[in-house]
Amino acid sequence: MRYFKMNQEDRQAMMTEIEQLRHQNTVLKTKHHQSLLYIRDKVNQLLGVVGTIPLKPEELDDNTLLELDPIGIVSDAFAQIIDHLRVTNLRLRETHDELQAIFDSASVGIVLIDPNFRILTYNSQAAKQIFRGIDSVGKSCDEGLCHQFCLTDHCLVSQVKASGRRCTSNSIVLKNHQYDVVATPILDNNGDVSRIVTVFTDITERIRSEAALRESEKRLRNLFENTTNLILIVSTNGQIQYVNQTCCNTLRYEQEELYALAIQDIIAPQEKYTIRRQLRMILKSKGQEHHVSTVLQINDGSLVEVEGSIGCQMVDGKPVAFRAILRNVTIQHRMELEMSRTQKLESVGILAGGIAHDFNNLLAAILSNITLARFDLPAENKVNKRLLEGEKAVVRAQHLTQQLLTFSKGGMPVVQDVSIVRLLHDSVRFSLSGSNVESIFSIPGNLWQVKADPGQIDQVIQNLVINSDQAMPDGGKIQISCQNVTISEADRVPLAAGIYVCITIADQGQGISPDMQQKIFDPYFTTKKHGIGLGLFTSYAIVQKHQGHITVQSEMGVGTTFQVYLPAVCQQVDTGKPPEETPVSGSGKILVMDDEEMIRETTAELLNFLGYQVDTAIDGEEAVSLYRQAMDSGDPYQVVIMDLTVPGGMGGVDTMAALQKLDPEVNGISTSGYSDDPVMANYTDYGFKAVLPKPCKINVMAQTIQSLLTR
Amino acid sequence: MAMTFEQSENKQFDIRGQICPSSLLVALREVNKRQQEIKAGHQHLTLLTDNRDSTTTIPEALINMGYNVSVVKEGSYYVITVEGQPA
Repeated sequence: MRYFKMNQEDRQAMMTEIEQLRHQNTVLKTKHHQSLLYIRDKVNQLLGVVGTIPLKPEELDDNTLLELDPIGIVSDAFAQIIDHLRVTNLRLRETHDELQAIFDSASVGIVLIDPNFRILTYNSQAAKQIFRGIDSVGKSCDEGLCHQFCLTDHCLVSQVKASGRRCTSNSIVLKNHQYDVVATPILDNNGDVSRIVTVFTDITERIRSEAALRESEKRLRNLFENTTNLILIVSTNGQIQYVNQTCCNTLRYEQEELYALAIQDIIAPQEKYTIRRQLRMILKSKGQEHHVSTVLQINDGSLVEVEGSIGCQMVDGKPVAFRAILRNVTIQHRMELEMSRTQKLESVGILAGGIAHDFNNLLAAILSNITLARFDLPAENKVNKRLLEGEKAVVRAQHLTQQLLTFSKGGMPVVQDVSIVRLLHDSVRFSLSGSNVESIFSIPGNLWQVKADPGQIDQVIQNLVINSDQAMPDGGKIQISCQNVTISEADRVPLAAGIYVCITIADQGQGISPDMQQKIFDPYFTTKKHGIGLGLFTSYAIVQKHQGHITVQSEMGVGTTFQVYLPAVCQQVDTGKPPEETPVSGSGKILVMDDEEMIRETTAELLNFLGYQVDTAIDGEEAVSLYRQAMDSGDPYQVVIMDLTVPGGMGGVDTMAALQKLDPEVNGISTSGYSDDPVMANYTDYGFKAVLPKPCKINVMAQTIQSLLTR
Repeated sequence: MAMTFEQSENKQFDIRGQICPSSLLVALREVNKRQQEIKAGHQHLTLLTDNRDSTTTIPEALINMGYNVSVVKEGSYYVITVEGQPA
């Protein structure tokens, strides 16, 4: 080591200098250390803010610390954090504004409540609808909102507070409005409920609408279920989806049973193809309503005729379901058929009525002359026998006229209380003469009498038995039975309530097909080679005019049964004496009034033949005059026979009235070629004691007069 | 035209062996240096660290600074990916 030579003083000064420098160095070192400590402290402070642990001196020495410049780094980071916060705040503000706008424009009321039941804020809708303009911020919700509602178990705020979960209620009523309320908690960092958002949706109108809809649906359902129409909804693949009660009742199925079926299952077999085609047409025409007339098959296999419309509901051009509204027209069709038959009857009747009178007058003259001629000849004379045949032919011709007249509007049967037992036996025997068919009778002893025209009923029985006979060409049996029946309003037969005798004629023939059964009562309908188709038509008309009813039931290969209902009188049968074949002679004065000279003369001759003294008059005036003269002379007429129709003069009815004035006991008999004249059916109403049809067999005339004279 | 993540340049820093807070300071320093590029989407950073604390502190600080950060464990270390937030 080399030492500079310096004096003591300089040395001393230098030492002092050095000491000072040392001291300064120490001070500087201390300051430096303190600065570094400060830097470390600040860095640690900043790191704490950033969220990490302090720097450890052994991890980063002082020089590295200074070189790393952590304050610079962290302050740069802070600058970015502050910038990010600024951007975030800006976004928050925007979001807040957006939320506020949503809050205020919401159509539901939103109320924010704190856990102490204070109202924090609410939106415009709540202000208007729930608080009605009263400032309620800061008020407790039981006071400002639900008015003691929180005291009950239903308080949603309490429920949310207790559960920490969302709670709802749809039965909260505030100021006459019903609300659906959803209360949702907002949780703080500790998971505790800090605020509760309550959203009030006014459901008053919805509840009202729902109730109105339910009511409307009820009304519609009521309409659907109580209509007499059949209503069906069927899917596009044919499955039945809805049927109303009328449909179930008509088809005799339960609703569930029908829902398991397809539309084809309830369509009558012969209609299935047509319906399939119609449904396809409906689809083609984009669901347009189509008129439909078809036949449904009900549960027991029988058929129901229906009419109505079928359409298809379309959505976006695609078919959804077919709807059918149908009405049962089975009975209506039956009635239309009945009415059409009645109309046909009337038109034939008008024609028959037009010629019957003249024809009957002619027949009367022929019959009288033949009868008179026969009385001039011995019974065994051949000519007498031929005349007898002629007489029979006239009677048959008269029956034919009678048959035609039964169709006419007036053509009332001349009814009397009669036993039909003998009539049945006679008609059946007559109809089956020469036949290989056997008749079996089953008639109770207490059978009532009927109100009937024996001649007409005879025709009915003959027509039915002849048909039965012809239905069994190889022989067989006809069952003829009778029974007393009482018909009430509830019975489904076209008859007035009352008592009836039902005559049943059942054969074992080939039967009549259902198609034919509908037509057999039509005029001119026949299946027979030589038939004219008037037999059953006549029978139908006759029974109708007796206020009765005729039915047919038939099964192919088994047989046919006809039933004839005739009004009964509650009186048991008598033996029904047949009219005497030999005319009964008598004596007394008889006045015959008829405008036809031929009739006057032949009638007078017949009566003369029977032993009566006869005068004739050409009209009512002359008859009354003659009657008065005879009375005045003390030799009155015992019987007056009067023609009902005198063209241009006083007819039978007026004459009878005039005669009754002269002599209330006068024995008046009405006669007419118009056997359809209602006076002939109700002659007693006009004062007549009896009727004689034209033409009339002599023994009938004799017996009728005799019965009046012996009264 | 904004770049997609795949299009942006990746700057990777291996800070394995460093622990908090120095790992955080390094991460912050590197992000600070490239803040413009990262925020513009031109660059993204991947930091490899094996310090578990760093997977919390680094993402927390960077998210506060406005970056998108994801952490994926890759075997014995973690990959922290830093990218800018879309505007």
